[in-house]
Amino acid sequence: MFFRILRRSFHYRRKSMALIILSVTMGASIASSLLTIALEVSDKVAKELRNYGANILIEPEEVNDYLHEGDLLKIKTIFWRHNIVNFAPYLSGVVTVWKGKDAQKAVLTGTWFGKMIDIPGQDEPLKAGTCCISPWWKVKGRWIQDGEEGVAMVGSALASRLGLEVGDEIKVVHDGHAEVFRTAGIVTTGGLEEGQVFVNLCVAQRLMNLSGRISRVLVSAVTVPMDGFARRNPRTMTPKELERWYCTPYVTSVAKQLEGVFRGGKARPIWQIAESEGKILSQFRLSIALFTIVVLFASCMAVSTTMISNVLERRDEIGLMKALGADSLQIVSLFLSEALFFGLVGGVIGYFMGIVVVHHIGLIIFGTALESKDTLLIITMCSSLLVTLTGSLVPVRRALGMKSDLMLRGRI
Amino acid sequence: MRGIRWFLHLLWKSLSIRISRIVIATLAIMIGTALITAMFGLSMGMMEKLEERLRAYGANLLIVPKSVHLNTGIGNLNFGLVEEHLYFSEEDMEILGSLSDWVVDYAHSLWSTAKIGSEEVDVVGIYFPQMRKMSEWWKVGGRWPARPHEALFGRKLMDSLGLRLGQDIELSKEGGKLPLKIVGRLETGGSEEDRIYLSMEDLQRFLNMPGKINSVLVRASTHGHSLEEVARRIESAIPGAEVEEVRQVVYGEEVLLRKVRWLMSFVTIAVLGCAGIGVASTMGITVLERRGEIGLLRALGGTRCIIGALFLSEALMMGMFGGILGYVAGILIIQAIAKDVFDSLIPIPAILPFLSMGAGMVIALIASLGPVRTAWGVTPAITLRGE
Repeated sequence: MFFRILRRSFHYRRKSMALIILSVTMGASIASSLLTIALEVSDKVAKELRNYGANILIEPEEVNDYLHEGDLLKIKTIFWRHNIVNFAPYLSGVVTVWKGKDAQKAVLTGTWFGKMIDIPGQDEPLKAGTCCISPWWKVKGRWIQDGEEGVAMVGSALASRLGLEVGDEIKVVHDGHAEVFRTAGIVTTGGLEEGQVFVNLCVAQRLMNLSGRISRVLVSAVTVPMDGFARRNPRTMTPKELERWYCTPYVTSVAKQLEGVFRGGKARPIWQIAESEGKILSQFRLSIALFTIVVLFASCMAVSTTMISNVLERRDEIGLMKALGADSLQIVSLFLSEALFFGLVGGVIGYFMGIVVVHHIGLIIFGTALESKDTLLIITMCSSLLVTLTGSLVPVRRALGMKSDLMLRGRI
Repeated sequence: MRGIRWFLHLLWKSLSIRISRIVIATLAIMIGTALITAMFGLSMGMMEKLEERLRAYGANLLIVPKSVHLNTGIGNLNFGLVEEHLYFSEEDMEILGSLSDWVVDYAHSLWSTAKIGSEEVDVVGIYFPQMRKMSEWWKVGGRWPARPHEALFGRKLMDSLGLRLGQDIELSKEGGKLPLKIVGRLETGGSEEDRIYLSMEDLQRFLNMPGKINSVLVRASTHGHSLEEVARRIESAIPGAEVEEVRQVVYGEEVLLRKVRWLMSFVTIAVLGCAGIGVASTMGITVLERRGEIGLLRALGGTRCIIGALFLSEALMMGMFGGILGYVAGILIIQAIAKDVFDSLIPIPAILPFLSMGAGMVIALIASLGPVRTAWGVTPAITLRGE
């Protein structure tokens, strides 16, 4: 009898059932996708903040010394290697730049322009170099390719002083050695780069006769905000604290590890970038947590009102059942099993819809997909069941307390 | 005329007699609108706070005299100053104070070179309080200079010249001499570490250039206008000025803010959807309960038009009241949260009350469309018989 009533009730009220499932599904999918976003988005935003450029600078300890180019590949062997988003080596020296008969003193910088580096244990090679670490450069003309010789990129300030245009030839003289470059692009940054000439690292090494040497390395690493603990001096920490410090990707501890792989190198955080990043991330985490609470509340409300109205709509049915001698337990279990069904079906469909939605949101906003955690399925299911069950139980119990003849006559 | 009076009478009776139902529906709208209001307020507050935090990255514009390229900025290489003797007078910059909608913060500086012994160094005259506000990331060992003849020295410069904190040194230039005391050691990780920062008054007196500066760092607001607009505006307000974007700061900010805005709009849509569902369910009940009444109305000659108008105007009234109440509740929620999270109250934009009321009405209207259709489908004879 129980199952027959249940089956009939689904059969005859298909349209409103579909509506209820739809609203439970929407509620569940919104809740699950927002939870996913809340869990994942901090990482994504941390990656976005890498657009501000490198946050660690490695320089030789001694003033007129150089670092070894060979040590660069060891960057990807440190403990926090997966947090290293990108890096670029630089070799700079003062040169004279000639255009026709005009000459200007300037700095020549050799660097990588998207060199492909194979990382042990990773399928995709890393595209390392200036173009990836400094995405804000505005280039008129084009970027130099990796390994390309005979071309240079010129800073806009230097270009305007020499009257250079894209395609013009310049002669660069360093210590008696001279080389001719064609201007491939003119760089505007609003910073020091505007007074420099950029070429490939190997070209600069040849011109300055410093093969295998570099004068500094910029590293862009994903780090966690500096907290009170991170600001303490590692030298005064107990071994246990030191281990905790080392195993947390603070910008200082990542810098310390980088220092370890460069012979004669000293790694320092670039505070303008590192400090501000932490502030923004902590602000962002807080706000996202807040939004999640608001949205979860809203979706709970949406689902429970649907459930309540479902019961209210059928109060005459309850009255009829009571009049025909059904006891409270039977009626309650009838409505609860319906609610269970809505919760299960809506929760599952909602969860998977949420995955799809979040996947696309990730692609649209951050360019990479956001992955849902499996435990989220359980959380979504439990909460959708909880909301649908309580949403039904409360009005059913109220309806049971009313007089059945009044209900049947439609007076209430 | 009679028709309208009769309609209003009907509306009034229907609202006043079924007061408890109305209250419930209005409550549902109120909760929905409160959520939406809170959402709008929070996302506005968050964007504002985020922009404020982004200020921590420092200046995004640099004002220099036309055709002079100074080596300021964030790059990491120092190649000596390109000296072209072009200066602003500080009075030229007073206009920046009146552009307060556009310019959040600014810091004057005067760049030059001088000698310590035989070593040539870059010296920069600044107003310390201004700079400290602008460049929050500067880490100063020792203390910030407070008196004349006190200076901040870059870490690298101190290391390479073997200088110590507390030491007295002498700057010289073209015969002039300036005694300085090193009170602070500046650490930034950038090119600032190669320079000496001293107070503007000291340097201007030393160079014999009272009231002259040659660059201004500006933190411009990008709220509601593009950075280029601000740059053009400043250029037109200050004669002989060229405004450059600090691309590193500008680019990162653009990308980040764009993505966060996208995210916020998704979250807002989610909340709107949820609020909509909740209100629609409640409105659905009110119609179902009144099938008999609707049947009677139709039997007495009420057209679909009148029934539709009755329901929609009821919905509008409820939407309006619910919207206003929801706005108040939403504001209370926001401010309660904001005090803890953003440690300040969020400024409520003047448009928000209207927005909330509008949202309440629109949601109520849309949510009643389904019920109205149900009401139109009511067959008088059957309903009146109570089937």
